[in-house]
Amino acid sequence: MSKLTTINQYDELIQKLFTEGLEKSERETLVAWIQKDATHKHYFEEQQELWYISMCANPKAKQYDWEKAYTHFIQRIDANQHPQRTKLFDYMQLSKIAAIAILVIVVGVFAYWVGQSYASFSLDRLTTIEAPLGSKTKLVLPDGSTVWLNSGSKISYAQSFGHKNRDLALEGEAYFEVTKNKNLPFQLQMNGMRLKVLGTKFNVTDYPEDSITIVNLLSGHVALENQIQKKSIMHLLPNERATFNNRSGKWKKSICEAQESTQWTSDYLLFEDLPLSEIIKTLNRAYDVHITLDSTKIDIANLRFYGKFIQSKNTIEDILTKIVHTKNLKYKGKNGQYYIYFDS
Amino acid sequence: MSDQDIIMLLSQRDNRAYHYLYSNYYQLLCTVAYSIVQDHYDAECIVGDLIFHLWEHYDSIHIQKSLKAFLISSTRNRALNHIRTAKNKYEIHLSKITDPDIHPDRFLVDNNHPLGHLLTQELEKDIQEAVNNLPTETKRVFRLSRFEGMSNQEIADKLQISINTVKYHIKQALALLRKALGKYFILAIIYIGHFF
Repeated sequence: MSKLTTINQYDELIQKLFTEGLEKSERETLVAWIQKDATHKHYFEEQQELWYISMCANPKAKQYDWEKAYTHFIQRIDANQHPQRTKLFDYMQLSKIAAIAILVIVVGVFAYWVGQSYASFSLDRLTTIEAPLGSKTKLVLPDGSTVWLNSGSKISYAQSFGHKNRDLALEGEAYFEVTKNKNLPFQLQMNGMRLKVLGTKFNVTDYPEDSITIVNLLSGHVALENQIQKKSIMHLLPNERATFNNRSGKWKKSICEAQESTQWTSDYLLFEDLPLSEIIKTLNRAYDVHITLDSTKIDIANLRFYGKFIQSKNTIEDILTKIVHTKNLKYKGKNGQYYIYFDS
Repeated sequence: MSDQDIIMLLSQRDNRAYHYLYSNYYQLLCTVAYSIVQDHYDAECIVGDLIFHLWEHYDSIHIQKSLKAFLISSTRNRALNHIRTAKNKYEIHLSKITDPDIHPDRFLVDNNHPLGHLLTQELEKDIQEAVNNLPTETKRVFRLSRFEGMSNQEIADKLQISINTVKYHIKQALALLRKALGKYFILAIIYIGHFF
């Protein structure tokens, strides 16, 4: 009877090891039990083997695409057999160009977030860099990668960033030029999605407060892991865009002019057939203003506009004036508070 | 092609060998890696890196016994290394373990008794059958735990059962798998020691 009880007790620890992981003291208890007797050891090893090999029965195992993987392998060995010639005479320039895999993350819905998702990204001793509303920030990370942060966005990373890992959290909008480092994957954790890179690939994630996340890839190769819908994976090639709904987990891939998505880093405000509601969000961030819309008469929020402005030259009032002129609207207000309404 | 043929082609960097590895072993090896790292993308990277390693070091690879045993043990070791390095942060994060005392490694590994040795015996079908033959509820709980990487609490919430019932089903699953597959353990002892 007592022997049965002990086995039961250790069975529980063994199961906990497999399913939840053990705390240090539990682990020590289990190891001591295993080492105490050869039959214990045998029993444990067999349980472990059973748990381990049962993964063969996973129906998902079939989803690995070996043909695609083989194609990728062939590309990889080709690249190794024919190293780029430019390397010979301008190594610095090459490392700058080749090592840059460029990624733009445009988070559609923006603004007042910070959330649980962010808190759950557990990194110790975080360094946080924030671009305040109304200004943009460019910075170089400890690993040499460059990040442009749009107004009101921030990134965080642990002190070990650059030597032990390259794990990063982002809130908002940023444009990355990531230096290549095969030994340290560049990983960006967001809510519902993760961006990951080994070698020249990436993977992205986003937050629950914003429903749409857009990733535009300029060069390199990014892998996105959907953590909402069965951990499916999407690979992006240059000039491809992923549009991800971080509430439903639905996503799609489309072709884009990725270069255009980086316009904001160069002082331009580019609006291409965007609804006024989206434009206002961008303006609110860029100028640190608060614009509201009259929604009583017509659906002003969904009126679409084209426009290109230079932030350092055009004031917010210049832009508002141009916007209202094209659609029979008016605006009023000052000192950062504006109201757009229909001119009846 | 026999193992010996493949091993010879590997030593000559012949693409047919890599094609053979991808078409015959890629999915199995990804599954082996996934079972440790719990991440499809990482699993594929690990296997891709292993095969690339075989290509890079084609002139210094020594595969003594079974090719399959070599591939499985190499994949397993790479996967274990992967979760032991700094990258394991995500494992901890994803499995919602926040206590730094909790070790992310779900296996206690002893080189004298390598994990996965039963796989070298062409047992995949038997294993699948053993899992499929589990009673419906037990199978459901076991699959969520083993294949979806869900915690006991998450399974309990999802299936609207108590956490003790979850634990009972997992225990039951292991006992039944032991009953179905236990006979191979005796055979397996012969293979142990031929791995490295």
